[in-house]
Amino acid sequence: MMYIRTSSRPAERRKRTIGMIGGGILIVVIFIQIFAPHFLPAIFTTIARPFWRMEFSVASGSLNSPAALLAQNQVLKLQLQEIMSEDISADVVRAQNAELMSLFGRVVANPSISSGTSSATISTSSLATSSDVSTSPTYKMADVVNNGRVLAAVLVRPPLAPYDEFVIDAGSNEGIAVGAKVYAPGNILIGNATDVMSESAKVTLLSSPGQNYPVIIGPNHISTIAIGRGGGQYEAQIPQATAVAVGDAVTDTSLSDGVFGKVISVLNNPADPFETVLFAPSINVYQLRFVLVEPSNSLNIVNITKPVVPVKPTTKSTSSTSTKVKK
Amino acid sequence: MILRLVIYLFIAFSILNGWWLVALPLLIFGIWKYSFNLEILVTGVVYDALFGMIPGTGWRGYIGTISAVIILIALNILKRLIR
Repeated sequence: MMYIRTSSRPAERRKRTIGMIGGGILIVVIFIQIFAPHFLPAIFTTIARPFWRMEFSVASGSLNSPAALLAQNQVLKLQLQEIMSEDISADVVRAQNAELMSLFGRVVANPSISSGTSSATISTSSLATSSDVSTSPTYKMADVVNNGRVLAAVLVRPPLAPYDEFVIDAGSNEGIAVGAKVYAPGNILIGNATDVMSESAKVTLLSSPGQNYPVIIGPNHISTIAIGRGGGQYEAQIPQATAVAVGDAVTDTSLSDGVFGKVISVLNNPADPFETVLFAPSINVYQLRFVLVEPSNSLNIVNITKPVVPVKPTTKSTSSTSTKVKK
Repeated sequence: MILRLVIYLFIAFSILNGWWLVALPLLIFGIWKYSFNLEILVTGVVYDALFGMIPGTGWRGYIGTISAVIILIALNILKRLIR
């Protein structure tokens, strides 16, 4: 009697071949990453960029009818005029601030960082027709490159991402370097460029888990470290009995007054010597379409591992400074 | 074959947009249904290349690739045990 041999050799051979291919892929990736860490990101970003740009254009309304775009343009122009008129009072305060700082011998780096106006101008210019851009003084490209900051479109923002970051459409060709500060419209510091390619860059949000940044909270200028919690949320620890309330502004420690956000909650446990302050920017970082990038390496990220000990409140230092001034 | 192609088109679109929550179930389905699904490795590498692989982040920049290897091995072992 004859039996057909049920051999599994071809299947085993196939398994082995595919296993070798899999192992080969991993070894190649590891080698490439060791010797040329930008090679794979550059290749895949170059492939993906046209798709991202196409999606961005569609989301920006490039498929809308010309009539709808013109109507939208008119509405935005009106909004811009309103914002500019409101911004006049802010300009007066800004000029006063610059004057006071110059009296104390401080040079103002960006005396005319215009928050609302710049963002509105940029948004409008991005939606304006090409003729508007070339002819109207309101829509010059100079507005786009605002105070040395480069306007960049947010191409992709992964939702629920292990990587809490953006990919923007400006890179080293636009003068952006690793560490460049990234602002949301309204002069809100949101992150820094962590990986820069020729025409795109990855922006890691300061609210990403594990990121730390020194900030000042409230009218009493309480210094502390903002710790990213992901999703545009931050937390900070401050000593008990410090006067921080919901709605207090959180600012950058530099003189440029980069706004971080507003306090949304103060968690107070009497048994704990510290209280936890939760804050978030006033804008939703996941709805941003444009950001402004400052081509510099001046981001003073601090690497602090747990436990994070908050800096002593500066109420004392503020008072000491004020006494010095009085003297 | 066509179904496999359609699945991988969906996966490619999801990965381009960083929708790993969409891509992951499709990849698991692909590994389960088809034998030797190496595409998950490529997907992991592409995901990391697009959104990770940031210098200075160490192994955290390779979450996609590491997860792909773990899922591929685990599901293949599970398949062998069950079938």
